[in-house]
Amino acid sequence: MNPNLALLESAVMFAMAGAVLALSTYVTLWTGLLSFGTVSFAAVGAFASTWLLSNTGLGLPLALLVSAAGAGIFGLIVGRLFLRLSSHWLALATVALVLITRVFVVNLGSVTGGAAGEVVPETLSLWQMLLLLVIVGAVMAMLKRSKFGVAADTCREDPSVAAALGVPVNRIRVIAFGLSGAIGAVGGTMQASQLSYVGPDTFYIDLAVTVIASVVLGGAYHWFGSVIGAIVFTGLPVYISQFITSGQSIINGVLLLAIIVWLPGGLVDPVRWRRLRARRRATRAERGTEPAAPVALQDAGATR
Amino acid sequence: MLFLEQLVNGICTGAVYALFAVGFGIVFSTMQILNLAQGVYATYGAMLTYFVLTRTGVPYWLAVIIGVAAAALVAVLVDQVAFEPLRRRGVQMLGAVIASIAAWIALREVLSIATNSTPVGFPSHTVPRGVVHLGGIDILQTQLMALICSVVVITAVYVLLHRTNVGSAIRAVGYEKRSAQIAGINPRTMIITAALVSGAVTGLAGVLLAGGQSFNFNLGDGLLLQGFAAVVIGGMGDVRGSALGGLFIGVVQTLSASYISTTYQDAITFGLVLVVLLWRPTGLLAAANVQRA
Repeated sequence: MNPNLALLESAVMFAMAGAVLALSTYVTLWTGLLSFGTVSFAAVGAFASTWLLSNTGLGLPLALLVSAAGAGIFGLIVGRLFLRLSSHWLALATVALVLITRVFVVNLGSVTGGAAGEVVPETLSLWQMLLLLVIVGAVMAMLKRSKFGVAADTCREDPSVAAALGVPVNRIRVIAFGLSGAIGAVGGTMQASQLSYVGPDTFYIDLAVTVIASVVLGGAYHWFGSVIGAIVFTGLPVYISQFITSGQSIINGVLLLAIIVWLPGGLVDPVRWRRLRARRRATRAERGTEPAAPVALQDAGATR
Repeated sequence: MLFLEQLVNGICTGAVYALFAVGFGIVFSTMQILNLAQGVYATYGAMLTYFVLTRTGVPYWLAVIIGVAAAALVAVLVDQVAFEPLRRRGVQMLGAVIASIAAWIALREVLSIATNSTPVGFPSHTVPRGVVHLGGIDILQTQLMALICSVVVITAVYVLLHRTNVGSAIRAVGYEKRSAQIAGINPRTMIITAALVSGAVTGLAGVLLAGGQSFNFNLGDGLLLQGFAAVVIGGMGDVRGSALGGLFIGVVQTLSASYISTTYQDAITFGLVLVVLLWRPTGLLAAANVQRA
């Protein structure tokens, strides 16, 4: 195959793995919590599915399912424990979780291959990856329309108001952690398959930073933003590594800073879009190309 | 005897962690920012000292001062570029955490390029490398220096924050910005001062840690994790708490490495952090009347 095309394919596959990992972080951010736990969940998922593939007769789909379920339960437990902490202390605790996970990966050599890591026995093809991303995306879309989505939005905007409205804030957040665990395990398995290797440094702080950066770029208000963010922060670097060999992190850092300063809502920010659309409509109305209608009325959803 | 020697080792390592934790704590208590870029200041302190030592013929103490000053400048730069716009717009805590991550990875990459990602070390003739005998225990001169510097600087920071007008003003801004402003304090000046002090203290911690060993652009990352553990265990807003937390972490790490297991050393430290976070989120030594939990 054309080397440029091969690189592009690899970039796309990394972007898809990154997108699933970003969605795992997004689920918790959706309920208003910043968590680095995704990296631990990804490690649990990747090592579990690698172990299942090389030591049991389970096929790839079944191994993936079992490890996702395992990591999901792990996520529920972590959420249950950590939710006693308020926002930034919770973020800190998840950082500690990532650090501890690495220590266990290094020391549980019989399962994880220890410091040397392990080769992944069966890798995913481009189409299998795409299928996984579509499934996760579909789950997110379904969640957004469900009661859970509305409750999660409310929890993010104001937990006390949410509680007053009868939303079980803690339960919603624990569920979010469980989902984050399951999705993280899928993402971790994809990442491991793309690297065809899992080691103690595969799932560490660097990955956490990339994942958080993707979610922030995409925005906390719509799940699709995280997919775009992952393309920018994981896919793009792989592709442009042929032109730029070093300094990628400087670009990432500056980009991340620019986003948080100028675009705090992220790229996909429905509220901002609605406001922009309203403003455009208002200017068009002024020019007389459209019959004038009070913008306030339109914002309130009034139709003529 | 071995136990005593390990204990002294632990205290000397802990002193550096304590210094770092104090620097970390200043930023947290005055600006309510969980600054993940703090470790990079330490790396800049050590790296700049290294560059000055290798490129020029200046004596060690002068090189250290230059390195520490550079770290302080980097801290102010990060604060003004990354945090000031967010403060002005009133973005919440999480925004600042993310901005600090951005500063961390960008600044770290600059050093990685500057050193080609290879380990460096202070030239051997510049750093004092002798061994001191104290009552039957051997202590490296670099360790002793780290201990003394840490004690002196931490005391100085404590006096600055709690016994001077500038310190009161800094703490007032950290406690309630608007009221401080009404009382005639310029919050921006105080925040810059705090960033400067914090950067200098952290830079010194980096130089002391780098002391006798070889290090690379990752130096500050390890320090950030240990300092973070220290601050969580000792309590965030308080100089004494942070310092004791650092000392505690150093001793626990050294002792658990020699008596329990070297491989699970980090798991013990961070497991401790998790237990403390879940059990007493404000730190073991924090005052009972802290508002946030």
